[in-house]
Amino acid sequence: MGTLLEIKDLVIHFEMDDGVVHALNGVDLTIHEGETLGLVGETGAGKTTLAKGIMGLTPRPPGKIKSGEILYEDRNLLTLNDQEIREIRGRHISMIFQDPMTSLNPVMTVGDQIAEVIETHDRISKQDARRKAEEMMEMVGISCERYPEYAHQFSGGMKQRIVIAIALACNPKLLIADEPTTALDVTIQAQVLEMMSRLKSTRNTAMLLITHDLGIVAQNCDHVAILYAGKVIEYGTVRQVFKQHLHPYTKGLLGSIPSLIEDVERLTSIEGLMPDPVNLPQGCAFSPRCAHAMERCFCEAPPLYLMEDGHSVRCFLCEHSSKEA
Amino acid sequence: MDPGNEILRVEQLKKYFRTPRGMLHAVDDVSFSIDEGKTLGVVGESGCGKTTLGRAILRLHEPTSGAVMFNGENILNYSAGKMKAMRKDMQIIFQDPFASLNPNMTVSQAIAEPLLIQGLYRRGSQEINRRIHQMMDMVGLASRLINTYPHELDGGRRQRIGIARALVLNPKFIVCDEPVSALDISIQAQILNLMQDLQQQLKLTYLFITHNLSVVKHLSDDIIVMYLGQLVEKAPARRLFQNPLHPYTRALLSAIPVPDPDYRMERILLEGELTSPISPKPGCRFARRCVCAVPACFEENIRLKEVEPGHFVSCHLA
Repeated sequence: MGTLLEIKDLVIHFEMDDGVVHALNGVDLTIHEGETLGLVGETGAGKTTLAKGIMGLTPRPPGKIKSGEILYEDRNLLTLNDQEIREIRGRHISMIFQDPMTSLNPVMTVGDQIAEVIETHDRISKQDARRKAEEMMEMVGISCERYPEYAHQFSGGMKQRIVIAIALACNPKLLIADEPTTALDVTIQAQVLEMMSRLKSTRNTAMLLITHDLGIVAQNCDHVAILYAGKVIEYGTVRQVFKQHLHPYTKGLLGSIPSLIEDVERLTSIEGLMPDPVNLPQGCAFSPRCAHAMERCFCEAPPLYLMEDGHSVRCFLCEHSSKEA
Repeated sequence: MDPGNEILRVEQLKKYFRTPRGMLHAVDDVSFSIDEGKTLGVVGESGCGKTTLGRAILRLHEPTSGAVMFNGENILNYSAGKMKAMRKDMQIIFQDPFASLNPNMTVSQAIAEPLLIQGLYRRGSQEINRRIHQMMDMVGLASRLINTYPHELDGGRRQRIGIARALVLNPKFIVCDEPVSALDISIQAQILNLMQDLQQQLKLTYLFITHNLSVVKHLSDDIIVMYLGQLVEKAPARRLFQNPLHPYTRALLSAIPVPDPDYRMERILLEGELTSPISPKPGCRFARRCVCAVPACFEENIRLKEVEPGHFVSCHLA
C-alpha cells in the first residue's frame, strides 16, 4: 500500500481576542491508498480542525497554520494557491460534513448539486453531467426520478446519501468523512455505513473517518489514531488500539462505554474534563486526569514512542518497552 | 410480582396530536408498570414517541386517553393544585443541558427555583442555602461554582445542574430523557455512574429514555422497545439482548456497532425508513420494513402477548 497523504508536525492555532486556541499541536499522520483511518477524539480534541486543515478550509483569520506539511502525492497542500487547491478539492480529496441537514443547498435540486461538482471538474456537457449525476444517485440507492427534488423532501438518511454522492462524484482518492452518521438513527446509520464501505472498496477510495463512536471505528476501520488536545496520543491497527492499547486515555475511553457483550457493574470513567485549548497544561496534556501520572509528566511533554509493528504511543510509561529505547 | 412494590402503572396511554394532515399517533396504546427503585429503559429511534411518552406520563403533554397510576391513584384525574403538589414526587431530567437551563439564572438560582415554586423555603433563607450546597455536593459540583451562569460551564457540569434541579424536591420517580446523549464519552460515563449512585442512595425509580442501546442495557432492569408510537417488545434487560423476538428489535440490536474488532454480528439491514405516524393504517406498523412479514401483518392490529415470563412481544410470528 502506497502512502497517499502524509501530515507532518501540523500546528494550527486560532488567534482570538481573549487568547490563542491551541487546536492542533504537532500532528503526524499517514493515510495509505485505499485504507480507512479512524480518527477518534472528544469535543475540542481538534478532529474537525484537522479535517478542514487538509481541505484548505481553515478560516484565516483567526486560524493560523504555524508549522507543518500536508503532503498529498508529494505536493505540499499548504503551499498551493487558491486555484490549485480548488483542483484538489472534490477531484482528489473530498469531504462529507457532519450534518446532512445543513450541508445541502435548500434552493437547488439535489440532482443539480451532484451535477455541479461533475461540471466543475470534468469538462463535459450539461447532459453528460446530468447523466453521470443520475448514475451517482442510483449508486447510493436513490431513484434518479428524484433528481428534480429539493433537500427538504428527503429524510435524514437520504440527505446523507446525496451528500455522499456529491463527495464521490469525481472519484476522489481520499474521502474525509466528519461524523457522517452522528445525526442518524442506528438502523439508518447501519445502512449508510454499509453503503460507504461497499463504494469505498469498489472504487479503492481511502477514507479518513472522524467519529467519537468507537463502535463504528472497530467495525469499519483499518487503522486508528486517537487525538487528545491536538496531538495524536496513540496510533495503530484497530486490533492494536482496541486489544493492546497502551495509553491511559485510550484505556479510559474504552472503559467509559457500556458493553453490550459483557455485564459491567460500573463504568471506569475518566475523572476531570478535557483541557481548555486556550490554556493547555504543561507537560503531557492528559496528566491532570491520568491515574498513572508521574512527576515528569507534569513538566515534560512525552514524544511519540514507536512500539512493535507501527503501533505508536505518546506516553512515558512506554519509554522502556519502545523499540527505540 | 408483588403489587405493593409497584410505583407507576401506565394503562393504555394514548397521545395524539392534531396536524393539518390528520391525527398524529405519537403514543398509541402503551401499557407497562415500574417497581419502586427499578429502572425501566425506553428505546426506539427518533420519532417513535419515546419523549412524548415521558412527557405524557408527567402531564407535560396532556394524554388523549388512558391512565397513569402513581402509587395506586390515577394522576390524570388530579386538579391543577393537586398535580402541582404531586410534582414533588415526579421529576424530569432533560436531554439538552445547553437548552434546558435558563441562561439568566446562576447555579444557585436554578437549583433553588423548584423549592421556591413549591413554597418549601423562603428566598435567601439560611435553610435554602444549606439545601443548595447539599445538592451541589451530592451531584459533584464544586461549591465555588455557586454563582456561575450556565454558559460558563461545560456540558457535563450543566447536566449535573439539571440533575440537582430534578432531585432537590426529593422525588421518588424521575423521567430521564436522553440525559447523556449530548455529552462526550468520558463525561457520559461520569454522569451515568452518578445517576446509578444516586439511585441506590435515594431509592429512586427511573424511566430512562434513550436511543443508545448499550447505555440502556447497562442501566435498566426492564426495557421496552417502541416503534412508531407502539410498544413492540418488553423484557428484562438481559433477556432482551439474549433473545430478542420482534424482528424490529433484532434489526435494532444488530445495527449497533460494537467496539470490539473481533466481534462480528450478522447485520440485518432494514430497507426503507420510518413511515408516517399520521393516521396510520391498521396492521403492524413495522410490516413494510419487516423481512418476515406475512399478509396477516398488514391487516389486523396485533396484541402484546407474553411469550415467556416477563417477556412480551407484539408480533404475529412470536
